[in-house]
Amino acid sequence: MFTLFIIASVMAIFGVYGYRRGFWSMVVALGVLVLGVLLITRAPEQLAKYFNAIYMATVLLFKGGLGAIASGNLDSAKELLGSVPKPFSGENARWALFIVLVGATVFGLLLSLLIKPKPSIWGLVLGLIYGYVLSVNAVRILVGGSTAELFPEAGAATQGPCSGLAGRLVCALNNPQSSAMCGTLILIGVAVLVIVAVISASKFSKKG
Amino acid sequence: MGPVDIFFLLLVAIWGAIGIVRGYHKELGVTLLLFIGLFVLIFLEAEFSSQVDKLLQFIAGPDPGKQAAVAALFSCGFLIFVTFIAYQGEILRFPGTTNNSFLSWLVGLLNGYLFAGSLWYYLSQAQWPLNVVQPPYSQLYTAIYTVLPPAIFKWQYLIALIVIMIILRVIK
Repeated sequence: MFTLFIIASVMAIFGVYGYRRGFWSMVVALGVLVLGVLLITRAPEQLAKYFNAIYMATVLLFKGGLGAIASGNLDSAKELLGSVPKPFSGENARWALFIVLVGATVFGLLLSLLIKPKPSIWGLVLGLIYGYVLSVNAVRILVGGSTAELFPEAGAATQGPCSGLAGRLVCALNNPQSSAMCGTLILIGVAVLVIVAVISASKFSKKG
Repeated sequence: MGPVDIFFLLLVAIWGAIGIVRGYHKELGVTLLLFIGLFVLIFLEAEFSSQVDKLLQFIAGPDPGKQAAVAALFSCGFLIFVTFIAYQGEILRFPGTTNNSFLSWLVGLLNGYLFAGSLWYYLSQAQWPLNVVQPPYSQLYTAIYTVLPPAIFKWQYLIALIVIMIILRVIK
Protein backbone atom coordinates (compact mmCIF):
# COMPACT_ATOMS: atom_id res chain seq x y z
CA MET A 1 0.00 0.00 0.00
CA PHE A 2 2.75 2.41 1.00
CA THR A 3 4.61 1.70 -2.24
CA LEU A 4 1.45 2.41 -4.18
CA PHE A 5 1.13 5.82 -2.56
CA ILE A 6 4.75 6.62 -3.38
CA ILE A 7 4.23 5.67 -7.03
CA ALA A 8 0.95 7.59 -7.24
CA SER A 9 2.46 10.67 -5.58
CA VAL A 10 5.50 10.72 -7.87
CA MET A 11 3.20 10.26 -10.89
CA ALA A 12 1.02 13.13 -9.70
CA ILE A 13 4.03 15.44 -9.15
CA PHE A 14 5.49 14.72 -12.59
CA GLY A 15 2.02 14.92 -14.16
CA VAL A 16 1.74 18.51 -12.96
CA TYR A 17 5.36 19.23 -13.92
CA GLY A 18 4.76 17.72 -17.37
CA TYR A 19 1.67 19.84 -17.91
CA ARG A 20 3.56 23.01 -17.04
CA ARG A 21 6.66 22.16 -19.11
CA GLY A 22 4.82 20.81 -22.15
CA PHE A 23 5.10 17.87 -24.51
CA TRP A 24 8.57 18.33 -26.08
CA SER A 25 10.20 19.13 -22.79
CA MET A 26 8.87 15.88 -21.35
CA VAL A 27 9.88 13.92 -24.47
CA VAL A 28 13.49 14.95 -23.84
CA ALA A 29 13.34 14.16 -20.11
CA LEU A 30 11.60 10.84 -20.71
CA GLY A 31 14.06 9.90 -23.44
CA VAL A 32 17.04 10.37 -21.13
CA LEU A 33 15.28 8.52 -18.32
CA VAL A 34 14.43 5.58 -20.59
CA LEU A 35 18.09 5.40 -21.67
CA GLY A 36 19.09 5.30 -17.99
CA VAL A 37 16.52 2.59 -17.25
CA LEU A 38 17.72 0.56 -20.24
CA LEU A 39 21.27 0.78 -18.90
CA ILE A 40 20.11 -0.32 -15.46
CA THR A 41 18.05 -3.24 -16.66
CA ARG A 42 20.34 -4.49 -19.45
CA ALA A 43 23.75 -4.10 -17.87
CA PRO A 44 23.50 -3.88 -14.07
CA GLU A 45 26.67 -5.89 -13.42
CA GLN A 46 28.79 -3.83 -15.81
CA LEU A 47 27.52 -0.63 -14.21
CA ALA A 48 28.49 -1.84 -10.75
CA LYS A 49 31.89 -2.87 -12.14
CA TYR A 50 32.49 0.57 -13.70
CA PHE A 51 31.45 2.34 -10.50
CA ASN A 52 33.82 0.16 -8.48
CA ALA A 53 36.61 0.90 -10.96
CA ILE A 54 35.99 4.66 -10.73
CA TYR A 55 35.96 4.50 -6.94
CA MET A 56 39.12 2.42 -6.75
CA ALA A 57 40.95 4.66 -9.22
CA THR A 58 40.01 7.69 -7.12
CA VAL A 59 41.18 6.05 -3.90
CA LEU A 60 44.37 4.93 -5.62
CA LEU A 61 44.98 8.49 -6.73
CA PHE A 62 44.57 9.87 -3.22
CA LYS A 63 46.60 7.16 -1.51
CA GLY A 64 49.58 7.69 -3.76
CA GLY A 65 49.06 4.64 -5.94
CA LEU A 66 49.82 6.58 -9.10
CA GLY A 67 53.20 7.55 -7.66
CA ALA A 68 53.95 3.90 -6.97
CA ILE A 69 53.01 2.99 -10.56
CA ALA A 70 55.09 5.86 -11.94
CA SER A 71 58.10 4.77 -9.93
CA GLY A 72 57.68 1.24 -11.25
CA ASN A 73 56.66 -0.21 -7.91
CA LEU A 74 53.78 -2.24 -9.35
CA ASP A 75 53.65 -4.71 -6.44
CA SER A 76 53.00 -1.88 -3.99
CA ALA A 77 50.29 -0.43 -6.26
CA LYS A 78 48.72 -3.87 -6.60
CA GLU A 79 48.76 -4.35 -2.85
CA LEU A 80 47.22 -0.94 -2.35
CA LEU A 81 44.54 -1.75 -4.91
CA GLY A 82 43.79 -5.05 -3.18
CA SER A 83 43.33 -3.34 0.17
CA VAL A 84 40.64 -1.00 -1.19
CA PRO A 85 37.16 -2.50 -0.60
CA LYS A 86 34.73 -2.50 -3.52
CA PRO A 87 31.79 -0.34 -2.41
CA PHE A 88 29.36 -1.42 -5.14
CA SER A 89 29.45 -5.18 -4.69
CA GLY A 90 26.88 -7.67 -3.43
CA GLU A 91 23.86 -6.00 -1.84
CA ASN A 92 25.39 -2.54 -2.31
CA ALA A 93 25.53 -2.90 -6.10
CA ARG A 94 22.04 -1.46 -6.21
CA TRP A 95 23.37 1.94 -5.16
CA ALA A 96 25.30 2.13 -8.42
CA LEU A 97 22.05 1.57 -10.30
CA PHE A 98 20.30 4.13 -8.12
CA ILE A 99 23.01 6.71 -8.86
CA VAL A 100 22.54 6.09 -12.60
CA LEU A 101 18.78 6.50 -12.24
CA VAL A 102 19.13 9.74 -10.27
CA GLY A 103 21.76 10.95 -12.75
CA ALA A 104 19.48 10.20 -15.71
CA THR A 105 16.62 12.00 -13.96
CA VAL A 106 18.64 15.11 -13.11
CA PHE A 107 20.38 15.26 -16.50
CA GLY A 108 17.12 14.70 -18.39
CA LEU A 109 15.23 17.33 -16.42
CA LEU A 110 18.07 19.87 -16.83
CA LEU A 111 18.19 19.15 -20.55
CA SER A 112 14.43 19.59 -20.77
CA LEU A 113 14.76 23.08 -19.27
CA LEU A 114 16.41 24.19 -22.52
CA ILE A 115 13.06 23.81 -24.25
CA LYS A 116 10.61 26.69 -23.91
CA PRO A 117 7.71 25.68 -21.62
CA LYS A 118 4.31 25.37 -23.26
CA PRO A 119 1.58 23.87 -21.05
CA SER A 120 -0.23 21.00 -22.74
CA ILE A 121 -2.33 18.03 -21.77
CA TRP A 122 0.07 15.69 -23.64
CA GLY A 123 2.81 17.00 -21.37
CA LEU A 124 0.65 15.86 -18.47
CA VAL A 125 0.30 12.37 -19.97
CA LEU A 126 4.05 12.11 -20.58
CA GLY A 127 4.67 13.46 -17.08
CA LEU A 128 2.52 10.71 -15.61
CA ILE A 129 4.42 8.09 -17.64
CA TYR A 130 7.68 9.70 -16.52
CA GLY A 131 6.62 9.53 -12.89
CA TYR A 132 5.61 5.90 -13.26
CA VAL A 133 8.86 4.82 -14.94
CA LEU A 134 10.95 6.72 -12.39
CA SER A 135 9.11 5.62 -9.25
CA VAL A 136 8.69 1.96 -10.21
CA ASN A 137 12.38 1.64 -11.09
CA ALA A 138 13.52 3.55 -7.99
CA VAL A 139 11.41 1.35 -5.73
CA ARG A 140 12.53 -1.79 -7.57
CA ILE A 141 16.17 -0.87 -7.12
CA LEU A 142 15.81 0.11 -3.47
CA VAL A 143 13.46 -2.69 -2.42
CA GLY A 144 14.97 -5.22 -4.79
CA GLY A 145 13.35 -7.95 -6.89
CA SER A 146 10.72 -7.59 -9.58
CA THR A 147 7.71 -5.30 -9.87
CA ALA A 148 5.52 -8.24 -8.84
CA GLU A 149 6.73 -7.61 -5.30
CA LEU A 150 5.32 -4.11 -5.48
CA PHE A 151 1.85 -5.45 -6.12
CA PRO A 152 1.37 -8.42 -3.80
CA GLU A 153 -1.20 -11.01 -4.82
CA ALA A 154 -4.57 -11.24 -3.17
CA GLY A 155 -3.77 -14.50 -1.41
CA ALA A 156 -0.95 -12.99 0.53
CA ALA A 157 -3.08 -10.02 1.53
CA THR A 158 -6.00 -12.19 2.57
CA GLN A 159 -3.92 -14.53 4.69
CA GLY A 160 -1.68 -11.82 6.11
CA PRO A 161 -2.18 -10.48 9.62
CA CYS A 162 -3.69 -7.05 10.28
CA SER A 163 -0.28 -5.58 10.92
CA GLY A 164 0.98 -2.11 10.13
CA LEU A 165 -1.09 1.01 9.64
CA ALA A 166 -2.41 0.00 6.21
CA GLY A 167 -3.16 -3.56 7.34
CA ARG A 168 -5.08 -2.36 10.39
CA LEU A 169 -7.03 0.11 8.25
CA VAL A 170 -8.02 -2.61 5.77
CA CYS A 171 -9.03 -4.94 8.60
CA ALA A 172 -11.07 -2.19 10.22
CA LEU A 173 -12.87 -1.49 6.95
CA ASN A 174 -13.74 -5.17 6.66
CA ASN A 175 -15.55 -4.87 9.98
CA PRO A 176 -19.19 -3.78 9.22
CA GLN A 177 -19.38 -1.32 12.14
CA SER A 178 -16.11 0.42 11.31
CA SER A 179 -16.98 0.46 7.64
CA ALA A 180 -20.33 2.17 8.37
CA MET A 181 -18.54 4.77 10.48
CA CYS A 182 -15.96 5.27 7.72
CA GLY A 183 -18.81 5.72 5.21
CA THR A 184 -20.35 8.42 7.42
CA LEU A 185 -16.98 10.16 7.76
CA ILE A 186 -16.59 10.14 3.98
CA LEU A 187 -20.06 11.65 3.57
CA ILE A 188 -19.20 14.43 6.02
CA GLY A 189 -15.76 14.95 4.47
CA VAL A 190 -17.16 15.20 0.94
CA ALA A 191 -19.83 17.69 2.01
CA VAL A 192 -17.30 19.85 3.90
CA LEU A 193 -14.82 19.77 1.01
CA VAL A 194 -17.42 20.70 -1.59
CA ILE A 195 -18.88 23.53 0.51
CA VAL A 196 -15.42 24.93 1.36
CA ALA A 197 -14.37 24.81 -2.30
CA VAL A 198 -17.56 26.47 -3.56
CA ILE A 199 -17.42 29.18 -0.87
CA SER A 200 -13.75 29.77 -1.67
CA ALA A 201 -14.66 30.11 -5.36
CA SER A 202 -17.54 32.51 -4.66
CA LYS A 203 -15.27 34.65 -2.46
CA PHE A 204 -13.02 35.03 -5.47
CA SER A 205 -15.97 36.07 -7.61
CA LYS A 206 -16.89 38.80 -5.08
CA LYS A 207 -13.31 40.09 -5.11
CA GLY A 208 -13.31 40.08 -8.92
CA MET B 1 -6.55 -10.21 -7.98
CA GLY B 2 -4.39 -7.43 -6.60
CA PRO B 3 -3.96 -5.12 -9.58
CA VAL B 4 -7.61 -4.17 -10.16
CA ASP B 5 -7.96 -2.28 -6.85
CA ILE B 6 -4.55 -0.74 -7.42
CA PHE B 7 -5.60 0.24 -10.93
CA PHE B 8 -8.63 2.12 -9.62
CA LEU B 9 -6.63 3.74 -6.80
CA LEU B 10 -4.11 4.91 -9.39
CA LEU B 11 -6.97 6.38 -11.41
CA VAL B 12 -8.01 8.36 -8.33
CA ALA B 13 -4.42 9.57 -7.87
CA ILE B 14 -4.23 10.60 -11.53
CA TRP B 15 -7.47 12.55 -11.12
CA GLY B 16 -5.79 14.33 -8.21
CA ALA B 17 -3.02 15.44 -10.57
CA ILE B 18 -5.58 16.56 -13.14
CA GLY B 19 -7.23 18.57 -10.36
CA ILE B 20 -3.99 20.45 -9.64
CA VAL B 21 -3.48 21.18 -13.31
CA ARG B 22 -7.02 22.36 -14.05
CA GLY B 23 -7.75 24.08 -10.74
CA TYR B 24 -10.61 23.55 -8.33
CA HIS B 25 -12.83 26.14 -10.02
CA LYS B 26 -13.01 23.97 -13.14
CA GLU B 27 -13.06 20.67 -11.23
CA LEU B 28 -16.09 21.75 -9.19
CA GLY B 29 -18.13 21.83 -12.41
CA VAL B 30 -17.13 18.22 -13.01
CA THR B 31 -17.99 17.35 -9.39
CA LEU B 32 -21.45 18.83 -9.81
CA LEU B 33 -22.11 16.88 -13.00
CA LEU B 34 -20.83 13.68 -11.41
CA PHE B 35 -23.13 14.24 -8.45
CA ILE B 36 -26.04 14.72 -10.87
CA GLY B 37 -25.08 11.57 -12.81
CA LEU B 38 -24.81 9.53 -9.62
CA PHE B 39 -28.06 10.98 -8.34
CA VAL B 40 -29.88 9.83 -11.50
CA LEU B 41 -28.49 6.29 -11.21
CA ILE B 42 -29.06 5.93 -7.46
CA PHE B 43 -32.51 7.52 -7.61
CA LEU B 44 -33.60 5.18 -10.41
CA GLU B 45 -32.29 2.17 -8.50
CA ALA B 46 -33.96 3.21 -5.24
CA GLU B 47 -37.31 4.56 -6.37
CA PHE B 48 -38.02 2.82 -9.68
CA SER B 49 -36.47 -0.59 -9.04
CA SER B 50 -39.47 -2.61 -10.28
CA GLN B 51 -39.67 -0.66 -13.56
CA VAL B 52 -35.90 -0.90 -14.01
CA ASP B 53 -36.08 -4.66 -13.41
CA LYS B 54 -38.80 -5.02 -16.03
CA LEU B 55 -36.77 -2.99 -18.52
CA LEU B 56 -33.67 -5.08 -17.84
CA GLN B 57 -35.71 -8.26 -18.27
CA PHE B 58 -36.98 -6.95 -21.59
CA ILE B 59 -33.47 -6.08 -22.80
CA ALA B 60 -31.36 -8.91 -21.38
CA GLY B 61 -33.87 -11.73 -20.96
CA PRO B 62 -34.56 -13.80 -17.85
CA ASP B 63 -30.91 -14.51 -16.91
CA PRO B 64 -30.06 -12.42 -13.76
CA GLY B 65 -26.37 -12.44 -14.65
CA LYS B 66 -27.04 -10.87 -18.04
CA GLN B 67 -29.41 -8.36 -16.47
CA ALA B 68 -26.75 -7.31 -13.97
CA ALA B 69 -24.20 -7.01 -16.79
CA VAL B 70 -26.51 -4.80 -18.86
CA ALA B 71 -27.29 -2.64 -15.81
CA ALA B 72 -23.57 -2.26 -15.03
CA LEU B 73 -22.65 -1.43 -18.62
CA PHE B 74 -25.47 1.10 -18.84
CA SER B 75 -24.47 2.75 -15.53
CA CYS B 76 -20.79 2.90 -16.50
CA GLY B 77 -21.58 4.15 -20.00
CA PHE B 78 -23.80 6.86 -18.54
CA LEU B 79 -21.13 7.96 -16.05
CA ILE B 80 -18.41 7.97 -18.72
CA PHE B 81 -20.69 10.06 -20.96
CA VAL B 82 -21.41 12.53 -18.14
CA THR B 83 -17.69 12.79 -17.30
CA PHE B 84 -16.79 13.30 -20.96
CA ILE B 85 -19.31 16.11 -21.25
CA ALA B 86 -18.07 17.63 -17.98
CA TYR B 87 -14.47 17.75 -19.17
CA GLN B 88 -15.15 18.73 -22.77
CA GLY B 89 -17.71 21.47 -22.27
CA GLU B 90 -17.35 24.97 -20.87
CA ILE B 91 -20.46 24.57 -18.75
CA LEU B 92 -20.85 24.96 -14.98
CA ARG B 93 -17.57 26.68 -14.39
CA PHE B 94 -17.06 28.08 -10.92
CA PRO B 95 -15.09 31.30 -10.38
CA GLY B 96 -11.57 31.15 -8.90
CA THR B 97 -7.98 30.55 -9.90
CA THR B 98 -5.56 27.65 -9.80
CA ASN B 99 -3.58 29.29 -6.97
CA ASN B 100 -4.86 26.94 -4.28
CA SER B 101 -3.18 23.74 -5.40
CA PHE B 102 -4.08 21.80 -2.27
CA LEU B 103 -7.79 22.47 -2.66
CA SER B 104 -7.52 21.68 -6.38
CA TRP B 105 -5.82 18.40 -5.55
CA LEU B 106 -8.51 17.48 -3.02
CA VAL B 107 -11.34 18.27 -5.44
CA GLY B 108 -9.50 16.33 -8.17
CA LEU B 109 -9.21 13.34 -5.82
CA LEU B 110 -12.92 13.64 -5.03
CA ASN B 111 -13.75 13.54 -8.74
CA GLY B 112 -11.50 10.51 -9.16
CA TYR B 113 -13.20 8.81 -6.24
CA LEU B 114 -16.66 9.61 -7.63
CA PHE B 115 -15.84 8.48 -11.17
CA ALA B 116 -13.44 5.53 -10.72
CA GLY B 117 -15.15 4.42 -7.50
CA SER B 118 -18.57 4.31 -9.16
CA LEU B 119 -17.29 2.38 -12.18
CA TRP B 120 -15.61 -0.06 -9.82
CA TYR B 121 -18.82 -0.47 -7.80
CA TYR B 122 -21.14 -1.05 -10.76
CA LEU B 123 -18.76 -3.44 -12.53
CA SER B 124 -18.12 -5.36 -9.33
CA GLN B 125 -21.84 -5.57 -8.58
CA ALA B 126 -22.29 -7.35 -11.91
CA GLN B 127 -19.35 -9.70 -11.12
CA TRP B 128 -17.23 -7.94 -13.76
CA PRO B 129 -18.97 -8.46 -17.12
CA LEU B 130 -16.93 -10.06 -19.93
CA ASN B 131 -14.87 -11.87 -17.23
CA VAL B 132 -12.20 -9.18 -17.19
CA VAL B 133 -11.65 -9.73 -13.45
CA GLN B 134 -12.19 -12.92 -11.53
CA PRO B 135 -12.32 -13.75 -7.82
CA PRO B 136 -10.81 -14.23 -5.25
CA TYR B 137 -10.71 -10.55 -4.37
CA SER B 138 -8.08 -9.09 -2.06
CA GLN B 139 -8.83 -7.83 1.43
CA LEU B 140 -8.09 -4.30 0.23
CA TYR B 141 -10.63 -4.75 -2.56
CA THR B 142 -13.43 -5.88 -0.23
CA ALA B 143 -12.53 -3.14 2.25
CA ILE B 144 -12.69 -0.31 -0.28
CA TYR B 145 -15.79 -1.76 -1.95
CA THR B 146 -17.81 -1.00 1.19
CA VAL B 147 -17.03 2.74 0.96
CA LEU B 148 -17.43 3.32 -2.79
CA PRO B 149 -19.75 6.21 -3.74
CA PRO B 150 -22.90 4.26 -4.79
CA ALA B 151 -22.55 2.09 -1.66
CA ILE B 152 -22.66 5.01 0.79
CA PHE B 153 -24.37 7.88 -1.05
CA LYS B 154 -28.15 8.10 -0.80
CA TRP B 155 -30.04 10.11 -3.42
CA GLN B 156 -31.32 12.48 -0.71
CA TYR B 157 -27.72 13.30 0.25
CA LEU B 158 -26.74 13.87 -3.37
CA ILE B 159 -29.68 16.14 -4.18
CA ALA B 160 -28.94 18.17 -1.05
CA LEU B 161 -25.32 18.63 -2.12
CA ILE B 162 -26.35 19.52 -5.67
CA VAL B 163 -28.80 22.16 -4.43
CA ILE B 164 -26.25 23.61 -1.98
CA MET B 165 -23.61 23.81 -4.71
CA ILE B 166 -25.97 25.55 -7.13
CA ILE B 167 -27.22 28.01 -4.48
CA LEU B 168 -23.69 28.88 -3.37
CA ARG B 169 -22.66 29.30 -7.02
CA VAL B 170 -25.56 31.62 -7.80
CA ILE B 171 -25.50 33.76 -4.59
CA LYS B 172 -23.28 36.80 -4.96
